[in-house]
Amino acid sequence: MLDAFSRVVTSADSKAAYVGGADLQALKKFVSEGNKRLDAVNAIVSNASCIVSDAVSGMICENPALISPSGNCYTNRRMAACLRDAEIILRYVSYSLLSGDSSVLEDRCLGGLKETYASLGVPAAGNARAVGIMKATCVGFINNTSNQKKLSTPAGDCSALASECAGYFDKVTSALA
Amino acid sequence: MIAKTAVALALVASAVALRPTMSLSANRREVVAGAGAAAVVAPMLRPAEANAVYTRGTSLSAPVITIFDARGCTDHANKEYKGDWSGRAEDDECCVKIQMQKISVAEDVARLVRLECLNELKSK
Repeated sequence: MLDAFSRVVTSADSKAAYVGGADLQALKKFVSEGNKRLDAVNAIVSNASCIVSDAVSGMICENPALISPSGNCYTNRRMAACLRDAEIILRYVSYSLLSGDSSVLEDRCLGGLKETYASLGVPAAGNARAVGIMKATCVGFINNTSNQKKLSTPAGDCSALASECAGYFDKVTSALA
Repeated sequence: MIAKTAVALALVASAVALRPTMSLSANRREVVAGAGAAAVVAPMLRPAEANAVYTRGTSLSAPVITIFDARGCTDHANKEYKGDWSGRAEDDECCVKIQMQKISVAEDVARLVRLECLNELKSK
């Protein structure tokens, strides 16, 4: 389980080399743009419940069979489990964004998740859609382009962070596919 | 600097765990931040054997990040922090906390979301 720093250190250690060059520049940029990263993470975690409920609602509205008696979100208990799982994924993505590395997400969240859902009969398409909605919402928050909710953060170009965040969601989608 | 230091030290702390010989300058501010960061990172640095025991089904927890941003707050004097000040608001008045927490959603909340979905579907 790594982060942006330990990954570079481990990589350099394995090559018996000092950290330098592009790796060092990347770490310098990581630190110098720390405030942007914090604002991006804050935008996600401060709105986590809304992001999750919007994603699950969107998934259900596009596929109402999920809340029909034979659907996977039929009872309140199952709906709660669905919301919980989406929040867990979102929290791990937010941590990945904070640490600048996806290894914790992959090791602690995505490992075995597809098999678990398959054994429970959870439809993969619904999962992918919910993750896709969370991705779009988070990217909107990070770029501050959400139509109905503008965050009071300093103006700046956060497109790199947005694409980094989108990449983590893509990893989730790939792992569940 | 606290915010950036907290993030950086959280990351450096994990790097330090991998490289015990690496040294850090340790004034009080960094020691406090580093200790907190290490406490945060430590659970995530379990050895491989611990991972083998970990199963997602029995531990429904996730890292919950809280960012305390008190920039510009004049409601009270800050008496909690006793160390040196950097003189920059964004550095002295932000703090990041990360804690593994069990994630759960109440069935009442789930019922509300379900009702919202039904209302949305009915309105179409």
